[in-house]
Amino acid sequence: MKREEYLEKLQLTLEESDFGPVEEAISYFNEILEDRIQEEGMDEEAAIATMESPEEIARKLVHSKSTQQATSAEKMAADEPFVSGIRIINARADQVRRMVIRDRNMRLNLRGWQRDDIEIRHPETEKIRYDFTLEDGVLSLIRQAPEFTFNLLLFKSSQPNMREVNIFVPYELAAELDLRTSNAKLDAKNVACWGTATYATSNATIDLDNVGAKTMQVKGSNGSIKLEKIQVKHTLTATNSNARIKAEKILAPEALTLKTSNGKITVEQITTDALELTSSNGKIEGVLPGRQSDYTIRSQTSNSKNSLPRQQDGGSKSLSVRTSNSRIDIRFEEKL
Amino acid sequence: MDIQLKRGLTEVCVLALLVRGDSYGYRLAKDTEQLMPMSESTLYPVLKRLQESGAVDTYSTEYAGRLRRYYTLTDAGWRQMLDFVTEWEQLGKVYEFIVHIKQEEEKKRTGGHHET
Repeated sequence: MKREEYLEKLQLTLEESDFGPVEEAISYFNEILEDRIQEEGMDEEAAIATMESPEEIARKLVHSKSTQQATSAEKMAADEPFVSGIRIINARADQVRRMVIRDRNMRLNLRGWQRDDIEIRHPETEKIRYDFTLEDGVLSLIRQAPEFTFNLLLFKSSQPNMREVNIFVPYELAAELDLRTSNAKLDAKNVACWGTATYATSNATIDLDNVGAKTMQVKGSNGSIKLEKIQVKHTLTATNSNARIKAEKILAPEALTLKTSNGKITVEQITTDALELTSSNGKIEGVLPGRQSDYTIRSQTSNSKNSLPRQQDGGSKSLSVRTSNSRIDIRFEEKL
Repeated sequence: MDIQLKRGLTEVCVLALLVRGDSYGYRLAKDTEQLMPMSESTLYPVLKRLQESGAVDTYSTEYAGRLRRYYTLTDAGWRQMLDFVTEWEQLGKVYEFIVHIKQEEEKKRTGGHHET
């Protein structure tokens, strides 16, 4: 398209669209076009190709004019294409068999509450947008890819609640959970779900307290993982790197696996048939129930002390402990 | 975002860009990218409003054989920008207050502990 053609089309579109006097607008867009050609060294067609279309311009100008004229606040809100704020999503818990959350740079808080429905509160702005769907029992909230980066400290620091998603579910939830974010904390409290549960973040802490599931997977990196009062029906696996894992009051009948690197592992009040603790350059310590002879043991460290035998057979439970350049200090305590 | 607030924000963004010196449509649209990206068609009504309210003045100068329209910040424009900062500080206080109330309510709601 040539310049005359573009401007003519813009003029016609604006005239048809009840915008009012168009002359000034045309000269503004003509100037923008000329500057684009001169300053970017583009030819006419290339410059026009990067301009908004006449229809798009007309739509925006008319929209802006109509919102300006609108007097009632409600009318203004209805005309606003993106109203930033906290969106609230409600769903009946019995309609959800799987909940998937994919976020980034956003803290996730999962909370059990006394109500029997699910509520998700998430921020939404022109830059923070989500796709929400509930289909075939799968509730999913997916953060959209960023269009551009924008960083104004004023807004970041003054709006902490625009940086977290709060998920409320019944204490007992008959669904699978899959919650993932990055660069922000993941925090879950007082929720027992009947399905598999996955919790993941990176470069931040994971804190699970009084949480249950059929089987559970926890994935972190560069941030500590803290597990307290966790009950699973089968297995619990937590993997981390460059940070510690602390597990306390855990019931994982079939297996509990904790792996990290360059971080300490601490266990206390663990009930499981198969415990595997693996680190490197990190101390492994804790107290296990029963007597040492209850366990079949494989343990290994290098360049440091080990309170366990490297190999011991005959126990009904299995215990595998491995690290390097750091101590293993596991003790046993018989319950009264 | 509340439309009034947003309108105020886009206007102040343009005013702030003019603090550094007079500018023209194409440059302003490009410069908004560092602060609050606006397309040229979003910028146009903002400039128009600022002219009508007297926050900016315009003049035309010849450039490369054609006329280019420049926008310049007026005293009223300066005032509008400073008022916005004051309003924003007030808004911050109201915001803190609301968050506080909300947290209190949340505590009450999820306070009852539940053992799995």
